[in-house]
Amino acid sequence: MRTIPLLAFLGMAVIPLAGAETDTSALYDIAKQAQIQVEIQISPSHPSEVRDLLDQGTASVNAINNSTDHDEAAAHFLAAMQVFEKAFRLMGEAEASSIEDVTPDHSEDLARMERYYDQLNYLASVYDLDVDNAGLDSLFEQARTQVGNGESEAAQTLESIKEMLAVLRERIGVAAAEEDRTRALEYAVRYTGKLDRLVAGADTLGIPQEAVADLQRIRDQLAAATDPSTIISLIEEAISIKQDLDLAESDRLEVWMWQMEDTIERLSDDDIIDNLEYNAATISLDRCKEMLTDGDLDKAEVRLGQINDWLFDLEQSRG
Amino acid sequence: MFRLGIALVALLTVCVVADSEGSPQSLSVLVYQDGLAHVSAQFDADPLNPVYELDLLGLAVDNFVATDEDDTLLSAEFREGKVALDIFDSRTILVEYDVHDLISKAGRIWTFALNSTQDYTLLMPKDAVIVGIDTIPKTFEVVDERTRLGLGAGPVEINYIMSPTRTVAPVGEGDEAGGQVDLEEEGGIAPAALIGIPIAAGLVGVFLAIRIRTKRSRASPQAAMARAVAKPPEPEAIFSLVPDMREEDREIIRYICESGGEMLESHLRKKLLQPRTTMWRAVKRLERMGVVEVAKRDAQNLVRIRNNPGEMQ
Repeated sequence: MRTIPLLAFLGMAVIPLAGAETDTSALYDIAKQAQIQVEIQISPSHPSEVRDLLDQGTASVNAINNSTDHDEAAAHFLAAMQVFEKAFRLMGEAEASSIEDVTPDHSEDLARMERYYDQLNYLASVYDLDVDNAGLDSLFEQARTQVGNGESEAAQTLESIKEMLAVLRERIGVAAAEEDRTRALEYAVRYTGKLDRLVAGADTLGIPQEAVADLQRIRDQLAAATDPSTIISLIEEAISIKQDLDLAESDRLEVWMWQMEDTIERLSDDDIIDNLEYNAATISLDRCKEMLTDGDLDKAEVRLGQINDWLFDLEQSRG
Repeated sequence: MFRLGIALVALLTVCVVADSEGSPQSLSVLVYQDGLAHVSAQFDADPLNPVYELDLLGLAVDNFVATDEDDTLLSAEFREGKVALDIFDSRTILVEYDVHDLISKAGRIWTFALNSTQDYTLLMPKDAVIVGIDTIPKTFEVVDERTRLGLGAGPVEINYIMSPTRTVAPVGEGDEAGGQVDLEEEGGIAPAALIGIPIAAGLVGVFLAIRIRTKRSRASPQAAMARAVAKPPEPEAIFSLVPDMREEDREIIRYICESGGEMLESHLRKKLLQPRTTMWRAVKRLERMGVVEVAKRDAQNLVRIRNNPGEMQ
């Protein structure tokens, strides 16, 4: 209920922060920039066609300003930009032979590597990795100086940084792979439970016996699997079988239930619910699982809605 | 009654079933001056699928990092133009990478070409001037001397040149917002370029001076934005409308309001000394309440007091 006044308030309070939409003025601004560039760069050595295109484009730019509606302005805008682009191509052809080679500028390479280094440093801290930053920091300092002075040695320094970043990235990858294994096993347990419910409720859900047998086989293999890639391929196989079945509703409720499990854990971790409430929520959720197992989707949905409302109220009142 | 519960879940859970089709929540492309681009994207994952396959915006990709809401680094396997991520129970996926082949160059014209399946923002390099575009951008603004475009799904081709003579703000702003063509710089490059340019530059200068005088009253959105004195939102007013907001969330709102209505998530973390995951959850919570929205700025999360009533939940 309080959404409406909040809407009204925020609408009034922060309008100055709103991004500009491309109304006629904005389209005019873009096209005018292009027109100015042609005017600045056109010279007598360019073919006369460029001058014609400039006149044509200028007329379209003026027409944007005089348009009575957005569609008309948009049409003039596109026409102007098409003409200016052509003018630049023609000017470029005329100048192609006179373009000089420029010294490579590595400032953007450096900016990219600094960004990447920041990301990796952060991830290294997430995985509690000891990183000796001194070497990399010193190389970055050296690269900044070399790039700033336009020294050609910058390329070599950046190459060294790239190699060191690759090593750091690999270390983080190894640490992440270890965690992957744990995540994969937890996911397998969860998915095994889902397959159990699916197999148990197969008759109600109208799953053919052949598919049930396949899902059961996958379920058993999944329960024994320990390797993440094996777990993934088994689940992908289960998904491919399920694709031929009409299980959208069952899957939707299954996802909702998983989310509810996570919510209960989170509320408990944040001390928003106590042990008694945690147990009550868990028991209620187990009852939902039984309903899914029985193929009683409507009842499961009602129960999930009730748990959701209850948890929501608790979080709102205590959070 | 339970329908209401379903609706609440749809609004309040981080990952809803409707979003589990793999549609990205946000996509932004930052273009570097040397023609490479940095891509940042955020996706909601399908909890029933442990693998997420993502189309890359190019074949030559560097510095790829995919993480989830808990900062877990996700394993990635690259295939032709795609990447498969082992996500397991991750809900939100954040992907960042540099791409080499999104932009091409012929002569001195750079061409950005992309056929996106979704809306995205494109941040052009500093000094880039658009000289050709085959679509109508959804939004257009100049941020830190860089043009930012909001573009819709579908094929887009944008041609641009790098020019130090680019006007730093839309021409309609005139001298009120300091958006004049930098005539000094024009003079500086002219002798090095072509003989006729100084004359043309002079003419353009005269033209602009006349235009600025005659068009001073023409209000482009950018000019209006620059002129407008942004009134920072009042935190207490927000709290009165959302009285049950947590104290730590109020603290976040206060900081954002103090900084004019928007702040990088990383700055908020440093200010409030909170772990990344905690801050991420807090921001998500505020986002669900409809109080803030999260946008990408230079590959970072920008938390902003919501400004579009139509989008509020």
